[in-house]
Amino acid sequence: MTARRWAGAGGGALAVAIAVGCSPNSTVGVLGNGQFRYLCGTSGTDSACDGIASDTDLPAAIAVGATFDVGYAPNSSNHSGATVQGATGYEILAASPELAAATGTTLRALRTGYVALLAQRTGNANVDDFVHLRFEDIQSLSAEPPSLVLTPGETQTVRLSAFDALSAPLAGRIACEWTATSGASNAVVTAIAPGASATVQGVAGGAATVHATCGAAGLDVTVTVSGPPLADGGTHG
Amino acid sequence: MARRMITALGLCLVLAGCSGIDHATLDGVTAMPDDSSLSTTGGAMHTGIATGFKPRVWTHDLWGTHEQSSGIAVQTSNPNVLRVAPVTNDPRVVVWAAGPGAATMTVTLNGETALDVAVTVTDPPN
Repeated sequence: MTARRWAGAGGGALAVAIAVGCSPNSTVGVLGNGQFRYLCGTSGTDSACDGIASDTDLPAAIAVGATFDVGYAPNSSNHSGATVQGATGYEILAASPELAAATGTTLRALRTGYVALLAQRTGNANVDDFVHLRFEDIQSLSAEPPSLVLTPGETQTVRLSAFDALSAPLAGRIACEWTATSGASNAVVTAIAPGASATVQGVAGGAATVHATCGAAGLDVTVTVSGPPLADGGTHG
Repeated sequence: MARRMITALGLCLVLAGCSGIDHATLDGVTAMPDDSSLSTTGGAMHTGIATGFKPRVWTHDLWGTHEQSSGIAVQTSNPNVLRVAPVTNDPRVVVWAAGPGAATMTVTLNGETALDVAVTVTDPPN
């Protein structure tokens, strides 16, 4: 059984979850005093969280510009059935504001490089443990599905995944802008915040191209719409 | 008579500065994920990198060299560049590079400097 307690964030620090019991999906801190977890409960598309409802291992790399959440559990909380030690909670502090920023309970990757995330007891200057994360620029994107075939009025969701220069997947909830670059009268695209997914609705028979821009990378998704046009132009799905 | 002479000699040596801090080390510096480094002779770290280690200090006196187990602290001359924090329930400390620049990391024993380490922090390459 896993329970979480969130501490209030303050001073640019990120409040993190505390787990009761041993979590199999975790990354041991450098000092061996606790475990870090990548939290997947937040809404938004994150390729590291596909099919995962709660938390998982820290990913190998996170996309610059993406947001993400990390939790920490000290080893002292791992004796089963016991009360969580340090029930006032822990915070995570990024080693440098140049590489990562905290907004409420969420971290944002700001530039390429490694950044240490330090777990501190709330209100205590001591560090319990730390771990490094790697941030990489998005170099390419892939879409699922890569193209759409719709009828007027039909809606389908497109999901993007980000990759680095070595085509390795990048985690994080990336922010993307979506536009219909051609055939805008045939299909309507609507981004799903924070932007790695969008819904596309067929409006009228014909072809359209939907373009997504995420950081410096872009991708076209072709849309083919067949059938008679919608009477309302697609505004009421 | 002999005991008195030894005691007197010891007192003279102490008064002449024959006891005090002998040396200090940074024990078990944890691996850093890039080419950042930290040792007793200096440090070169990239912004955002952290490392942990146990500071150890030895003193010497007439009877030899002795490792000290308390009164050891680590400080930074510039927290905008390099930050230091003790580890919870642990003799280790964590230092991390907060921003580009230069700082001196100092290991002290009861407030007396045992080791100064010049650390340079630079931003990681794009």
